[in-house]
Amino acid sequence: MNDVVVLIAVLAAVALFSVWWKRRDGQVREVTDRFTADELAALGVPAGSAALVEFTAPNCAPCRATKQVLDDVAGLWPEVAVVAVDVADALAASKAHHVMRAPTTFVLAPDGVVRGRIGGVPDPGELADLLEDGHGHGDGRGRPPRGKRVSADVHVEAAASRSPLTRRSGSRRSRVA
Amino acid sequence: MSRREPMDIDVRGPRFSAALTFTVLVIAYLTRSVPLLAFQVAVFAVAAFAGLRWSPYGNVFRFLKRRLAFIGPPTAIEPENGPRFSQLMGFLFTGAGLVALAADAVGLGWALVLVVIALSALLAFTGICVGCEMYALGQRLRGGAAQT
Repeated sequence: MNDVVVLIAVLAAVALFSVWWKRRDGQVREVTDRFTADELAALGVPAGSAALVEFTAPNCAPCRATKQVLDDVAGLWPEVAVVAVDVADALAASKAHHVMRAPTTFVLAPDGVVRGRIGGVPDPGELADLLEDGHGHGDGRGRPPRGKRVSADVHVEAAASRSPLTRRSGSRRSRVA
Repeated sequence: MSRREPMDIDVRGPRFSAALTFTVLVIAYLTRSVPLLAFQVAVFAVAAFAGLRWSPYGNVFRFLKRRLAFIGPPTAIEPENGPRFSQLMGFLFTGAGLVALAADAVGLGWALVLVVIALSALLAFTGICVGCEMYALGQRLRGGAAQT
């Protein structure tokens, strides 16, 4: 009888955990963190460029899906670099920024300040929102206003003219069409 | 670093295997059946060390897929590394549980089994593969150990 109670308790914990996990997964979290210039250089982020940096694991299916989302979203802002780096090849940075899972994506301003951090396959709409506004719509705990999510393609026209993550650096891209 | 291409597998396979693992371990736990636990440890060992091609539960899934048309083609495929790593984790936890039971540490032994029950339930019912997610953490720990 006791065994059954323990088993049910374990399964209830599993259920709670999975609800929590699914709510967090792919959502942009706002964190206070910054990549140094040396780190950016080591990761291969072009100097002075906003970037989406994904920490990947080899042969990881969600990592592939993430790269696709990043490429799609970054395609709207040509000045945003997309960098995918294996955790094993960037151990120092993984440790410094507490990367605990792959894929983990960092949204970086040109000065290396982390504007958002995403565990799992990013929600394209949220990522686009973040790049468009320079800050996320979430409350910083991975819970953005659910009703407000938009798919990436909705932003295609609006987004291209605005500059990502503050620093405008004078050069407004000629993508306004 | 080995460059051998990992085998791609149907993503539903690991979830099916997890459901079987969950069932077997729940029965073992509730009936306190050490032989059944030993069976599951052996299944994990085969999948982890010989590869998912040889996974007993994976082969049950492939057999059913051939026989039952409604299962249909794969919804997606993934490389075997992540799921295989999970099988290794399963092996380590249930194996340690078995050793604990053999050493008369009954509480610890079944507690370790409960951990695997929880993880396999997670994969079977929600598709979250904790072992796959922990790959990054594993790399960091391994890399950290290698550096010092």
